[in-house]
Amino acid sequence: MALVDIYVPKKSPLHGVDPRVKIISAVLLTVVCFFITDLVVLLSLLLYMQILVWSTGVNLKTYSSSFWLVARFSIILMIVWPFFDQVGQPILLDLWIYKPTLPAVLRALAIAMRIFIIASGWLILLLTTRHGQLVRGFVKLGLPYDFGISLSIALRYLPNFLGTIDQIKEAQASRGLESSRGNFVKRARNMIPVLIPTFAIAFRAIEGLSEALHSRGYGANPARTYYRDINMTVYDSIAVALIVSVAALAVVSKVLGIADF
Amino acid sequence: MSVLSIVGMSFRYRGQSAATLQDISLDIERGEIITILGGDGAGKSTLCKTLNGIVPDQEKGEFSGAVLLDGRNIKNLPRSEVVSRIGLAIQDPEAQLFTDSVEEEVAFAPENLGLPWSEIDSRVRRALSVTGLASLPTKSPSALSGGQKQRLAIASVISLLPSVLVLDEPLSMLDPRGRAELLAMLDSLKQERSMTVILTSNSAEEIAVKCDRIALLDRGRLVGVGRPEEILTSPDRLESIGVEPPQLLELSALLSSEKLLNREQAFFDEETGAGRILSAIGGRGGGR
Amino acid sequence: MNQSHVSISGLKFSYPDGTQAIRGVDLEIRHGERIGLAGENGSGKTTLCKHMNGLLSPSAGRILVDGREASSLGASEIAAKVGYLFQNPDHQLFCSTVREEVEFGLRNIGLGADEIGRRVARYLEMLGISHLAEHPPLALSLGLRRLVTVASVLAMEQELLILDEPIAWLDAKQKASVVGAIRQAGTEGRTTVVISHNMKLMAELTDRLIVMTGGSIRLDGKTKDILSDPAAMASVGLVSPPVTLLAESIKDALHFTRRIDTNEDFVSALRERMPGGGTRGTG
Repeated sequence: MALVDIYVPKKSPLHGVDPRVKIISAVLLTVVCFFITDLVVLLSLLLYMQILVWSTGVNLKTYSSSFWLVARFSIILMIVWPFFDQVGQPILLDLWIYKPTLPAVLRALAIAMRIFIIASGWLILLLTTRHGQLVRGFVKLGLPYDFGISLSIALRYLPNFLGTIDQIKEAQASRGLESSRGNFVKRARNMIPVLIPTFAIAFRAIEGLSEALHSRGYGANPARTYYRDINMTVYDSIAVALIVSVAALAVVSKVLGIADF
Repeated sequence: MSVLSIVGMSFRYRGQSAATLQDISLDIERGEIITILGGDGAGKSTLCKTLNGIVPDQEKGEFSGAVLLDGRNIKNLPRSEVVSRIGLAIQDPEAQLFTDSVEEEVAFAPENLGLPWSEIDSRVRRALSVTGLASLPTKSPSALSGGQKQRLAIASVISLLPSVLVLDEPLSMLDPRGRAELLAMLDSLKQERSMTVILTSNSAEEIAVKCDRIALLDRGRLVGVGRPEEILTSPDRLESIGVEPPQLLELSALLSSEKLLNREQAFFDEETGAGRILSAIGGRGGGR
Repeated sequence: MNQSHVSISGLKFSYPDGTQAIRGVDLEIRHGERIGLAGENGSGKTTLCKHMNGLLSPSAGRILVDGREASSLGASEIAAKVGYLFQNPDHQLFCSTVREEVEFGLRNIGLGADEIGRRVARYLEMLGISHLAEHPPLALSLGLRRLVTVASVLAMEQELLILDEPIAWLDAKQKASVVGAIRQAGTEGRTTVVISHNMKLMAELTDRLIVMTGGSIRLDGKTKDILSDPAAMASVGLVSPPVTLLAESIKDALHFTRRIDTNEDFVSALRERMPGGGTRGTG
């Protein structure tokens, strides 16, 4: 399952792009999205992002799990939105405090589309970048190396963690633990025999890891070198320049009222 | 001259009433393979951690005595030197591996030392070849078998080019195939270079024939050091300190208690055993 | 009473992601049998055992425990019939004291306070850890944690016991306690299935050995017969215990006729070859 373990081991154009470019693009996309209000523009951008996602070679299963994850969130958002935004005409429904108006619904739709667009940007990053390169990208962009290592370790352990929980459930079930029956309080209490071993295992792993890091010289030389490093090519530099200028242009022209999208 | 000397070393973890290690003195010869045998709680892991300074640096407790590397106390040496001369691989390989590929895992240690790229590259190649992983440089560590993971954990410490390699219970988490691969690796380490290897185990089976010397650890004290033939004489003695004797040693004890063999003819490997049994049967003369 | 305890017919199992772990297994296990289950990692032995306590349901075929479908029973029902010792003790330990840890399973199967107290005392004693009763299990060494889980599972005294690598990570003394406890369970008539890579252990604890490869059963016979047959062992990638290998290497010189998989067998075989107590003479 694990959201973090979705790297697609293929060679698409986006795979070859430097992680920093992808990170910067995802960030800028997130920012620029909020400046776009035209639904047609949002839709086009949404479709364009899906094309990019499919170009990575992602398999249907991964794509649909991510899609539905975002979709559930967006649908809830769209339903809840009119509680808080009741501006405009015409009023579509009149149910006591729930009075969705057409403009409000369209605004909700815009937000939903933005969420998909932003999610697509970050999804592309995770689909085309191995964990090590991803962390290296953040570190080269300014994240302190120690944080980077913590991130690497978290990314590596999270899928294990989740898998271990299943194994623990099995082990406790064979001692008679009924984890899926009973009322809410009972079920919550039955999580304890599953959660405690999970944390105990995590702590032991962390202890072992810290000894291993020490033994492998972590921190021995503040000026560490890199074996398989990430390097910006000419294309990467051009891509970044292009993306940054387009984003800047879009924001400025929207803010100054020069263009309306 | 000994490459590593432990001199009167004791250590007690903070909060424990009994010392985990008591007055340990041991000289390790350059190029030897020495196995430290001990039961659960004997202090094997703690001893390993004193050899590269994790104890007492990272563990709170009372430490006395010294560990000398080429005659110098490791307490006074810069950490980068200690860690690059004495390589420690802990028991559980799962806990150590966290990068995307086998070669990056092995490169991690020399990267930490700030070595130039070409040096890192040659060390990675060497370490992978010694541990039998040369065909898998780009494979993800999580896709490896248990035995391969253990060897990768060791390779990622060998890339430090340590003079002394310390392996804490390297066989305990492995299935028979993994163990066979690891023991073969020990053989090639022995032949290839003069890397001193210290390993710990709670079983003398399999390991007895691979090492030059054995040290017995019982509740924090060294109770015997010598060549395998000198130390592995009584299975009861080994069992009493929690160490599994080789099955053939138990066999030879059983044979001598049944008066089919002399006590001095104890054995623990197949070849010697076959020879002694056949000569004991065929005539019973000579007595040796 | 040698009736069928576990009856498996045409069992096939595939994981949700498509990997076929069991490719058609037929197996009868009778009450009181002492079974060893061996095979490389990925051979399907663990998957097969998880069907016996209802953790997994077959994709095809049937598995009956005492005449009932294993997966049709509820968690506490199956826990009372089938004991399963998992390989990793850390997957089970969560209580504040060793005593509570052993009590946990006993409470789940509905035993009374007196019986629980009696069993806790008995099994802690059997495993040599009575002195640790009030100790927090999570603070113990790996070997001792293992002993606690063995005690917790054995105390439930199920008719069918599945033990996955019961002596892994144990030192010599701890191993002796566990082997003794498992033998005791066998003496009390319980059916035991030991999963292990350790052939010495199989020789000590099992009468019948089943070897799986690639999701099917390759060998199924008397432990002694299989372990002392080098060709059979090689065909499934297993290695006989050292004493068997020694016997093999000198069998021509000594004309051994017995099958040898333990030291005691070897000594008996040697005695047979040496009339008059073995102090003199040729075979």
